[in-house]
Amino acid sequence: MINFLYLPLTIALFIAAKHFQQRFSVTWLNPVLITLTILVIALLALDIPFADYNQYSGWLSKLLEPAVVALGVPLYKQLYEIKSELPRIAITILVAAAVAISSTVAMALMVGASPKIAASLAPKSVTTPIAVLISEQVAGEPALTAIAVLITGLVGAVVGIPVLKLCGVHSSKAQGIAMGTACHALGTARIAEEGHQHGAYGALALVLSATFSALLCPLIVPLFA
Amino acid sequence: MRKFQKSAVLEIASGLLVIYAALWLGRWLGELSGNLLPASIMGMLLLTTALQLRWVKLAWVERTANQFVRWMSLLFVPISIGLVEHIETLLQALPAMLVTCAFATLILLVVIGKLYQHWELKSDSNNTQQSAVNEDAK
Repeated sequence: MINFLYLPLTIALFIAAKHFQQRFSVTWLNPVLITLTILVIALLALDIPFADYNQYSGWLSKLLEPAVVALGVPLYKQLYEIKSELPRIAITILVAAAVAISSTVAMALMVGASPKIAASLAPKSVTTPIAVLISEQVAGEPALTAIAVLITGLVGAVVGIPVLKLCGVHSSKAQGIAMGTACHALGTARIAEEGHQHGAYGALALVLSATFSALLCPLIVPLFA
Repeated sequence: MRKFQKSAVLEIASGLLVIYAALWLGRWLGELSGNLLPASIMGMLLLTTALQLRWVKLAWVERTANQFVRWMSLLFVPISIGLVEHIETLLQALPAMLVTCAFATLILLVVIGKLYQHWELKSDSNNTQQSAVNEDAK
């Protein structure tokens, strides 16, 4: 019975965190991060197994797939405008995917990570289901990859928009593409809150970067071995 | 009031039907193509195509899709909490992972954002110049 309570608790915490963020209008107080921190500390402190927490709360994870499908609506609404820009969007994201993979592997090796960890981090900007497959392909550790994807998404969701604005990136299309490419679905979820155009470009970038990274990762990662 | 509620329920129901149908078809197509793309992304592309070809009307899915997009962040919470299961591995590799993920991501974000915005502004100014030339020609 108590396992069921974690679900409404998660939702209530998230809504409270969202109100808190809006009330004080601080972007980096991300509701996902606040809810996550409180619940992880509580689970560890009270020694509650993840399986107990996830028994009912896991229903929310099952809604992730239809939520990604739903991004098809903002994508459709912007399709007319996107069509003419598709070549330059595709080139931007192809370059970005190559930069993402090589900079991540190089940086990981530089700070002393083992080649296996470096390979696990390579697909960190790709959405989890594809990232895990890529990780296996380049001899990484899928569990580590899943965590790296999560950290990447959180970094983007928490500080992505302020950093972009700070660096003078104000165009909604550029912001959408940057968040979708660098911070996958979590970044896209965050940027979609800003408006339909942001969300549409984010969704498109999410798809293209996942596809390009799946093609490029097995080519680029062995270069560092 | 009652009429409004009835139509809202219908809109949500039809939206769920369309979205899950797209997801189901996406899963099937994904398997056929040897899992080139995950079911959800395949479903998203199918939904966009169906809307574009007018097989699905925007009014059938718009309300449901808006709610999904609005609450999408919440859906990441339970998956993320799964990291407590890997806490030992995580603590070992954490410094390297945090530094790499944070820095590489931020650099990437800014590079893409700048690159695309630069390109966008350039083509916009070309277009304006072009239309100015056209105006002059008239």
